[in-house]
Amino acid sequence: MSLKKFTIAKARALPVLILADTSGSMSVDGKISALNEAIQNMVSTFKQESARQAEIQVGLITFGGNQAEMHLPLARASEIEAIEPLNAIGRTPMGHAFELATQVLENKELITSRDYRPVVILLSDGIPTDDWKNGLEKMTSSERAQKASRFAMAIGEEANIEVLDAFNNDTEAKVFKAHEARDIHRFFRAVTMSVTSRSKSQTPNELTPIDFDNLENTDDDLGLDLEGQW
Amino acid sequence: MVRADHLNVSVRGPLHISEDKPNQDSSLIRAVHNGWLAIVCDGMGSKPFSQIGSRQACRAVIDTVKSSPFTIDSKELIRSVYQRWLSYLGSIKPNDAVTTCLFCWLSRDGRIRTFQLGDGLIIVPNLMSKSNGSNNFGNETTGLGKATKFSDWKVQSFTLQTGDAVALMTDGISEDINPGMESQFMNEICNQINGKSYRQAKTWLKNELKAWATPNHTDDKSIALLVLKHDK
Repeated sequence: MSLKKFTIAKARALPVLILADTSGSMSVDGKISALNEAIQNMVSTFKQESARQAEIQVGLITFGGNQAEMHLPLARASEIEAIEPLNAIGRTPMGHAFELATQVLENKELITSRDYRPVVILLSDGIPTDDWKNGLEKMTSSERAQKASRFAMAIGEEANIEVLDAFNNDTEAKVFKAHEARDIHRFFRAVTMSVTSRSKSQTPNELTPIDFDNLENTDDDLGLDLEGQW
Repeated sequence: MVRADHLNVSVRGPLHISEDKPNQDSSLIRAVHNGWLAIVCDGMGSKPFSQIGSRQACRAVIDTVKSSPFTIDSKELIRSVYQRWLSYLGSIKPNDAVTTCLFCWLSRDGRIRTFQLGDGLIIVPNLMSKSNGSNNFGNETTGLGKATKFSDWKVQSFTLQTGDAVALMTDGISEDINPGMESQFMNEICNQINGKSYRQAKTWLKNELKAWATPNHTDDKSIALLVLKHDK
């Protein structure tokens, strides 16, 4: 006889939730294709990680058109076969995306109390077309959702920095500004490194700092833009 | 008058083994003038002196209990433990040695008092103490060096019957037990060690903790167990 039958047969999870702007403006200048590729690369990297401390999970909420949608329900990165490519269309219902994210973060069956503090990533190139303040208020005032680590990326010059600043709660890293398609990759690589570092850390709840201002210093990107710029 | 069988085991987790770091948990059971004392403390992994923090917490609890009547006021007892711990740290900053602190004090007539600050679990018959509220995420905890309020502690007292057991464990164990199976987990340990010598029981439990089944488990694991027996 052993104690095995009483123990949980599942590793603690480190959930990563992406809130991706898929409004119509993302369809120009190669933004949506860069985003698709960056997300795929992130998941591929997570899959390759032999998590020592935490098992990385990924979920994807898109906001474009009339409402936000759960494009990819939170799942173990190691079990994600493929992610349906994102299509950019319509308005920017970011507030609804915050509400959906809050529902996920508050779901104690989906993210249990033994799982590590989630990471939420917001990326947007525009101005929300719904009541984003109310959505964000729900997230930042809820018991669990407010504890998530929140990063934000502004894509292009039209992005509403005020909104992204309000979302971002990482005092070490300001809102990352992507001016070119390849910046999206750089942002995702930095977040990927931070998350994988956390998943191996002795203290996975503590954020590995990301210095977005100095990504070039650690970036191996040759600066060859094969996807076009805007 | 009752007597108590006891067992305490602490093992290094895979992460500390791979990084060649010491066990940051401390646990012990002692017979004291007015009964028995079981303690488990879990030094916070991110702190540089957490190993010292947990060890000194055990020492502070013992020394406080040794010089106190069983009926001492809970707040006074906790304040005294805390002050001792701070003095035992010497020049080490409390924030650099944060540790959880769980202990139970069993009197010779079967009364028991339990105290818990931070993560981990104290299992007693028909009652369970779990500090990690459902709104928390893993490894969010408090402890000596961090918490400063009496209300941060969970304090309970009741009477045990002969044959009853009480188990204290760090979150390296408690977080990986299937919810609702905590008492069964403790009872299984009691059943398995029944009839074994102290050394055999300790070896069995140590091997169980080393062969922990939860995937990717990394934490140090400590447990202290008291079982009430008829006095001979």
